[in-house]
Amino acid sequence: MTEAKELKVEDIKKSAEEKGCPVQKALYYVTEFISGPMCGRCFPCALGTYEAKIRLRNIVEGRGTAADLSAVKRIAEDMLEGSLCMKGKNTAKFILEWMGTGVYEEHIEGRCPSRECAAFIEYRIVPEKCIMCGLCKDACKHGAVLGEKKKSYKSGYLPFEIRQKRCVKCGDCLPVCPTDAIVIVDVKAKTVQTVQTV
Amino acid sequence: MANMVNLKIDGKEIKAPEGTNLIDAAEIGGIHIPNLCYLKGLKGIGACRLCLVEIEGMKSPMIACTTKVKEGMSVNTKTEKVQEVRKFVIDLILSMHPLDCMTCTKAGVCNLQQYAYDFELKESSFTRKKFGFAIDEANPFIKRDPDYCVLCGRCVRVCKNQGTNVLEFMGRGVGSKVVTADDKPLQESGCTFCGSCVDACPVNALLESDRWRKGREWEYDKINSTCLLCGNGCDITVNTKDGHVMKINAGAAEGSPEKYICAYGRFGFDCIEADNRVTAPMKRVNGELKETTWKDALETVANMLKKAGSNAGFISTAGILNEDALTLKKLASDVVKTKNADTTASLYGSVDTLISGTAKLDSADLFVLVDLNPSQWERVLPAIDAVIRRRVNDGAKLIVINSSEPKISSVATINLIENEAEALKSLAKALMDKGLSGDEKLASAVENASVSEAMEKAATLYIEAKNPVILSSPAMYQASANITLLKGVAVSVPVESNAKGYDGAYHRRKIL
Repeated sequence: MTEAKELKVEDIKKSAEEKGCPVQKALYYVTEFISGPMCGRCFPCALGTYEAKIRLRNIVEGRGTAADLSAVKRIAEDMLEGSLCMKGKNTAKFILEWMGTGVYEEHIEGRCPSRECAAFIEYRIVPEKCIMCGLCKDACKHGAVLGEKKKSYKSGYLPFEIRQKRCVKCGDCLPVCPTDAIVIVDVKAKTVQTVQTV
Repeated sequence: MANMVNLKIDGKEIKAPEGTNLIDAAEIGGIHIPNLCYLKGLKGIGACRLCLVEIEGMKSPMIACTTKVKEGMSVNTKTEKVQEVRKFVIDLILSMHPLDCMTCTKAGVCNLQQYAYDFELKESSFTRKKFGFAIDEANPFIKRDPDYCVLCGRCVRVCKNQGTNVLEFMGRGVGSKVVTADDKPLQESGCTFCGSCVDACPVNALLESDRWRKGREWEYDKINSTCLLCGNGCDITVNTKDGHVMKINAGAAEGSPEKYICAYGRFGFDCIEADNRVTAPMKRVNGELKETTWKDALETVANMLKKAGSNAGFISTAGILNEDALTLKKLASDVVKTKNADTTASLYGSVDTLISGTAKLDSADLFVLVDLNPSQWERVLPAIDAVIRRRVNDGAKLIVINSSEPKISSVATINLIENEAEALKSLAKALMDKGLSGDEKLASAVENASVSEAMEKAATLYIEAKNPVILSSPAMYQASANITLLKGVAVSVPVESNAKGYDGAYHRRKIL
C-alpha cells in the first residue's frame, strides 16, 4: 500500500491558485492543509480550519448564508492573530486575500462569477448552433450527453442535450465542440446570463 | 532566594522571582490569565492560545505560559484583540463539547464553564460536532469519557512526567482522542490508577467511577489531611458531605512535584464505612467474641495490666502517629511501669537509624537512592518514585546505589549496582579526594576504599549539586549519614512511616 505523499504548503498554494473560483481556492487549500501539513496542536488552527472547511463547503454547494460568510471571516481573522506558527497564519492570510472583493457575497446570492462552482452553473447545448457531430458525446466520460449523430439519410432525430443529473461540470466537452454550441449558464440566479465560453 | 523582578500586569505592580512565567506571576498579583493546556510545574506548550497577552513593545500578542518575567515589563491581559481570540477558542471548543452543564459532575469547578461564563457564550456559534466516542468505565476506579475531552493534553503530560506514560493522543486536530496504547481499556494498559490525570483534567473527561450523583462540588467540605496508608504520608484533600467521605484528591500545592497519591489513598476510603469494620469493643466470652461497652472493656484491660505489671508488653504498628507513640511510651513506662514497648519499625531499624535529617524534595537537584526500591507499580513508596521521576524530568540528577537494579534505575544518571556499604565508603573517599573536608575518623575509616570510574563521576556530580539529598533505607542510614558530614542531607526512609523527612508541616521523627 503506497502512502499518499504529504503535500507541502507551497505545493498546496500552487495547486490552489490554478483553480478559477476564489472560494474553491480557499476550500482546496483548507482541505489539503488539514490532511497534510497541519500539526493540529493549537486550537485556533486545528479547530478553526475544520470549521472553516464545513462553512466553505456550504458556500460552494449553494447552501451558503451570511452567517457562513461571517463565520469564515471570523475564523480567518482570529487564526491570523492566534495561531501558534506561520503555517496557520498563512492559511488565514490565504482565505482573507479574496474576502474583500465581493466574490463570497456573490456566491451567497447564488452566483459564481468564475463559473466554476458546480452548484451554480449548468452546461447547456444551444440547439441552433449544434451541428450534431457527436464529438461532445464521445468526449463526455460520464454519459451525460444524449442525442443521435445526424445521418444524412435519416429524418427525425434525437437532438443533443446534456443530462443535468449526470453532468459533473468537468468541462471536457467545451473544447471539442467545433461550433461552440455548449454554454455555461448561471442557475439559482434571478436572471439567467448566457456567456460565451472561451 | 532568587532575584525578584518588578513588572506591571494590568497596571498592577508585581514582584516575581526570576524565571517565573507570566501566568504564575499574574497569580501572585491575584490576576487570572485564562489557560487550559498549562500545568503549573511543567513547561508551557502554547496549545490552547487562551493565555495570549499583549506586552508593551512587542508587535503581536505573546502567550503567557512560556514568556518569562523581565524587569520593567508592562503586560496587558485584557486587550480587545486577545479577548476576541479567547472568545473564539472557547466558542470552538464549545462546538465540540456536549453542552451538559445541568448534570455534569464538574459543574462549579469546570474551567470551560467558567470561561464560557466570562465571555457570555450561551451556545456555540459554530456547527455542532458529535463524536460518539465510547466511554471507558470497565475498571472500578477511573472513568474516561472522551466526548467531553477538550484536547488540552494535561493528562498526557502528567502521566508522562511521572513515569507511568500510559496516555497519548491518537489522530490529529478535531477528531483526535486521548487513548492508551492500542486504544485498550485502562485496566489493560500499564495504568497504576493513581489518578493524577483525574486531578489534572479541567473538564469532565476523566473522573472517579463512583462520582455520579454523589453530590455537587460546592456541596463538599474540603479538608486538608494526610494519608496514613503508608510511610509516604501524602497530602490529601478529603471531600466530605453530611459527614461521609465522598472523594479524595491529592492535596499538595499545585505545581509541586509532590502532588501525588496512589490508588490506595485515592480510592481506598470505602473501608471507612465498610460492613466488616469493628465499631465497638469486643470481649471474648466462652470462646466467642461478643460486643461490649467501652467502660467494661477498659476496666477489664486495666485490671489485666495492673496484674501483669512489669511483665506487660506493648507492640504497636510503625504507622502510629508520633504523638500517639509518645503517649504510649508514657503509658508503658510511667503508668504500667514496664520496659517492654516497641513498634514494628524495629523489624528493619533501630532508634539510631530511624531518626534522620529532613529534606525539601522539591528543591533537591541531586538524589542519591541507597538500598531503596520505590515503585509506583508495586506500590512501594510510590510517591517518592513519582517525585524523583518528576524532578529528574525537570533537570535533577539521580544516583542509584543498590545491590540489585531497581526499576527507577532507568531514569538514573549513574547506576552503582554494588554492595551499598562498600559503595558509600568509596563515595566518601572519592569526595574527600576531590577536596571536601571531613573529620579524621571518617578519613581513616574509608582510607582503603577503592574508587571506580563511575564512582568518581558520581562524586563529581555530588560536588556540583547545590542541594543533594540522600534517601536511604534504615539499614544503610548510618553509612549514608557519614556522607552528610561532608555535604548534603540524608533521610532515613522506613516503609511504614516517616518516609519523607519533610521540612515544614509534617516533621515526623520517631521517638520510641
